[in-house]
Amino acid sequence: MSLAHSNRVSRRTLAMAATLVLALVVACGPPARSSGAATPKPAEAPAKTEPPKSGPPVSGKLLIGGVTALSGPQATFGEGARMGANLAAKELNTRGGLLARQIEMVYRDDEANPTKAVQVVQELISNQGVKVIIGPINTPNALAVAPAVTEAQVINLQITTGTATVDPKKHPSIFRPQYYAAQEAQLILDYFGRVRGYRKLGILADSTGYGQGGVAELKPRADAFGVQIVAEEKYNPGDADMTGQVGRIINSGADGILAWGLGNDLAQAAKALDKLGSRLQMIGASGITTVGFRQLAGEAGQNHLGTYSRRFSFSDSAPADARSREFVEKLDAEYGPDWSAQTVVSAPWYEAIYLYAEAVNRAGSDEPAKVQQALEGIQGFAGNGIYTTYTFGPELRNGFQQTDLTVVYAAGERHGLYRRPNDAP
Amino acid sequence: MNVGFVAQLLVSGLALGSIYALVALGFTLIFATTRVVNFAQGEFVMLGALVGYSAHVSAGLPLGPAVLVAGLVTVLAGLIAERVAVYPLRALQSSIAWVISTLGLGMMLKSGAAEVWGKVPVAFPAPFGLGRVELFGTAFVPQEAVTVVVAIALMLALEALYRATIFGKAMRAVAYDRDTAKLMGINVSTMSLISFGISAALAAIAGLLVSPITNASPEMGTVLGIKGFAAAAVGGLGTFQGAFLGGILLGVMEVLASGLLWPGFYDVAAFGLLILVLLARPTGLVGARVVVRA
Repeated sequence: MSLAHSNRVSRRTLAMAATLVLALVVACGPPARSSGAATPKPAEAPAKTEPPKSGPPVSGKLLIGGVTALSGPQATFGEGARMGANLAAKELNTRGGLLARQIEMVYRDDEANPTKAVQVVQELISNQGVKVIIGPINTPNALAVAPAVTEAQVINLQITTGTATVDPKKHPSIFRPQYYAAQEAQLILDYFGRVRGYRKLGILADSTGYGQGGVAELKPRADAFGVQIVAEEKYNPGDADMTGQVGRIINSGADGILAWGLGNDLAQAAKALDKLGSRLQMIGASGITTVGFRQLAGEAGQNHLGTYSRRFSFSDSAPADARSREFVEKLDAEYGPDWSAQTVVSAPWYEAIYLYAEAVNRAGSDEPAKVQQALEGIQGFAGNGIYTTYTFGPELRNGFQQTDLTVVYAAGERHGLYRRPNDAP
Repeated sequence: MNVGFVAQLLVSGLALGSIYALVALGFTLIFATTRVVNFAQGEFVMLGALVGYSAHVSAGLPLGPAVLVAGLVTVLAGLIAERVAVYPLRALQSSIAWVISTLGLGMMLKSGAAEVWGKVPVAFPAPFGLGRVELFGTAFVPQEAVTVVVAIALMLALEALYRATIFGKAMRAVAYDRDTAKLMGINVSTMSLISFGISAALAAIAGLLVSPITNASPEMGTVLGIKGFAAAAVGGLGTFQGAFLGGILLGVMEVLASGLLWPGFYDVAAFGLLILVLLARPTGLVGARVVVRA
């Protein structure tokens, strides 16, 4: 058989087979996507909530850029972000918009990828001409876009938790209306150290910048709470078995575990604890308080704790804040009762739009330099009262108040509200 | 050192190792016939798991039919892959083209799956339960025990197939000398196709057994593929006992290292040991002599 002949045949086979594989992959898909509660439907929400196009565009629309992951593993967060921001824009528009212009949200998907985040931010600035960007959510993405927004002198309200992302000297136009890692470390050490009186704690963190960034916040603070770190364990995201890490923490005689990682991985840790018959409690940063943890840990996740917005938490004796419950009802009215996104993402994005509107109104202009000055002058602005009381200043870029963060059961969600232990600070 | 803890680590390592062993069996089967390492093997495991998830959880099929659907789809994908990405390239002089084509196929499957199923890991219900079982002071979950049993059973079945059937004899002949085997009337093309088909079925079984323990996601195949290949290589890439032992060794080493050595250092320890094994016994643990022909 000649080589040429066999090559021709194989090329034809190749084309046919490639088509088959594609057909196969596409055919298997749709049912899975529509059923998973962890995978919301990013495409459907915006259509409903696009601000009315029929406004009086005398001076054109006022564009607000939104950058977050709308696809991929963190699409749930992006979905929650968009729900919150769209709702705020819609409400403001029915009251006449901002500077008598209708607000239009322009979203770009950063796929939780820093390179992509820089691309879409540059596109928003140069092609769309936005003067303000809300997001990103991921710390590496926030760090990556900082030079671009600083150079273009665009207002950027970042909703990230990484400690190092804001800096009034280097990036004067970047503000953070969101709690951050140092505040979370403070809170979880306070709860286990002071409230519970635990003296020996183990740390379990993922090996990425997120987990190790958390460790860097936890360790230097431990002493102040009379806490000794008796074990420090690391894992790679996606590790199949955590018996070793978890077993070492149990053997170290720790009273509890400080956990810094994402919900789906910490679900594996919860399962390992359960398997080893340990009742040790984990308390995590907000990464654990996610849909992923609740769904993947199942029964094994019931006992563990994480940080969350105080306004969206309730205890056995006290219901959640009335205005936050009202916000949940608004989400229901807008998106139907089946939305699965997280209020801890929807709320800051909702309030960020109001925060920006407040600054623009005070400045009487959407010129970034004037808005920046107005933002720096904001003291004790509560917005709709569902997240925090923002206070910024010429040297202050972190506007979230520590007291608005609390400890909740990581798997204790009830329709956007989380149950907190009765002794939560 | 606490003896109970070490025993617990050994039990957990055995469970993790049998997962690697299942993947390693698939690598070995293809290599034993075609002398090709299918670098998309981990992605076949992932495909089996996610198709099974769609059939069982999304479409609500009972477990049996869902397993069948997952198996059929994965086998079909394996057969297509062999015809498209492997067999045509073996006719060419280059002996390295299949490395790229199987790697590329794996990446295509991974990104295709991410488009279809999204990247969020999904919880696969455990048919054999995730309740805690205690035995001689060590704990495990039933799903892990089933994985160990299935890995052993499949290893024995494949050994029997390889040693005691005419098909196994043909596999060995093709592997030893393809041209002579062809002259002896063995259909080399069919042998290669069948190996990929069975290997894909093994991958689907692995995926369905693993995902209740680790959850299913498009990313799951990457690490499983690397660890499965490492296990197969330590086992000598030629025998199924070797693949099984390699998998168990890797799993046990990983868990022991993470439990007894420095934290976060377990991959270094486990792979370090594998390199030592290969240095001491270049032909692998079980030591089948493998001649790779260009």
